[in-house]
Amino acid sequence: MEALFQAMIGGLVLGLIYVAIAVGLTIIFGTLRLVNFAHGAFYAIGAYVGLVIAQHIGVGWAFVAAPIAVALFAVLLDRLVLRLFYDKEPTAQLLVTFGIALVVEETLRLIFGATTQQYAMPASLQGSVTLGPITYPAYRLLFAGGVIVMLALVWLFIERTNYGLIVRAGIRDRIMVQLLGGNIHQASTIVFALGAAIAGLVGAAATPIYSIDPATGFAFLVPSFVVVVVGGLGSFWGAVLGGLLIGELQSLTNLAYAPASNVVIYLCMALVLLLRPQGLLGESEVIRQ
Amino acid sequence: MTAPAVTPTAAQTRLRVDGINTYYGDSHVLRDVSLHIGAGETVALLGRNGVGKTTTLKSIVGWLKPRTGSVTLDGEELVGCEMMAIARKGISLVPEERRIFTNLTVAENLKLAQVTAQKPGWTLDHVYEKFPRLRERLTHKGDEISGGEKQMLAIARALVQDVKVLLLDEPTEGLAPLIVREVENVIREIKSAGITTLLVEQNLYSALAVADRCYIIDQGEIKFEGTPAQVRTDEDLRRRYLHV
Repeated sequence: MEALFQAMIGGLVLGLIYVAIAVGLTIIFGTLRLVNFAHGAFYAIGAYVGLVIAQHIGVGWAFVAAPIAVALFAVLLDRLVLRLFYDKEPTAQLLVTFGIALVVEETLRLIFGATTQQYAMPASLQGSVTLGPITYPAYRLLFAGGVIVMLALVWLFIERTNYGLIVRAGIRDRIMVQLLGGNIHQASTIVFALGAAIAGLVGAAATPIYSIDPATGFAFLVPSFVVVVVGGLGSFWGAVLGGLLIGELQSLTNLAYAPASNVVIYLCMALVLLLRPQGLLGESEVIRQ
Repeated sequence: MTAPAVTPTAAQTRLRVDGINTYYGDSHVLRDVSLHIGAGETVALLGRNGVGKTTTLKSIVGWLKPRTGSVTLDGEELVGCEMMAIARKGISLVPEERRIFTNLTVAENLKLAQVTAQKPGWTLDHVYEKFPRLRERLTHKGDEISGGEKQMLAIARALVQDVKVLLLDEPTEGLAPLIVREVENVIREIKSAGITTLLVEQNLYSALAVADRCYIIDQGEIKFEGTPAQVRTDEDLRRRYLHV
């Protein structure tokens, strides 16, 4: 029973990482119609920036520097490269973002080497917390709480601000937003930077839990795409539901039969695609260009 | 065929389209289209399906870029400007398909138009006074309201902005006769509010009832400019270009 609880909380933490990456992926796709295979690279860059800052300045600053650095990188990438591919076919977007992800991975390998790395969490957070029958590392619970707060802030931004209103309208009809005088390009840049910053922050914050190597981006990207498909492309709550579902499924399968833990998420995706192709909370309505 | 009697002077001209040529790929859709609308005028652009009416509106708002020719608002050139910039200068298109944001509520659709407006237009109280059914549907999503309500919302969305020229594309299309009359009343309200309007309609008699002047377009070319009375009385003109 204790192992089951451990696995469930582990699944929650893993699922929240997937949620954070998938929310970025899904709002970027919704607003920019961009299938962004470079999104995992944002996680990896955030993780390495966090590693360097944590080792040389302090863990607190890592959480500040990582999202800012990744957001700036994303804006540059958007302005210099991706903007040229907004109106291109998804295949072209997929290839260019996949190429960017490979360039980032190899650059990280060149700078930091291929070995696995991790920074130590602050001493004050190295303790454990007792939750009923189990004892769990305090940092992991804090991480989970932090991600939940961050997701709540993102939701408030999307649902309660004027920019969020433009973003939500742009998800459905970019042309009409412009016909009303809305600056969809600026809103798109903000969304892209926001999605990247979330991935970067989670990358930095998760490094004490999950060690990193240059291929980390892909390791988290692929399940996050599964999450987006399961939850429904373009749906915030779909990403939340899909992330938690996939995280728990992976963690519990790992407990029951570890070799199947990576396969089970793809089976889940196939099942959802067969029964509800638009995803659990996705809409089947055609989105205007 | 041309009736110059009601042409506004250059000083009064609010919107001027001058010899535009617009293409879809290699297909030449608009051929030297010229028209002008005076401040406060309601002008109808008439024609059969697929003759270039909507393309004319899209060329004015920057949705399509004319290859040659000029579009000016109060003398300021618009060709080459982004859609957003043209909207912010005060040209508002209510498109044929309404294009209501179906994932937003009626209230959010209106709020978005207020948020993106360069200057405010009608207040929400004024909107609800003119479109009382919208007040009753504020919390409904865009896909939960009727076709007539969608049309009212699309027009209201334009009017909460400080609109200098309103472009209405087939506002009565697909609506029940009772709702068509409501929309016609709304257009009369807009006219009486002094808002410059270019009305694209296939519903000939609906357009003639509110227009000060008319243009008829056929195969991408302006074939007639004159008064509604001329269109009403010239059977040959109607049969040749409007098939009625």
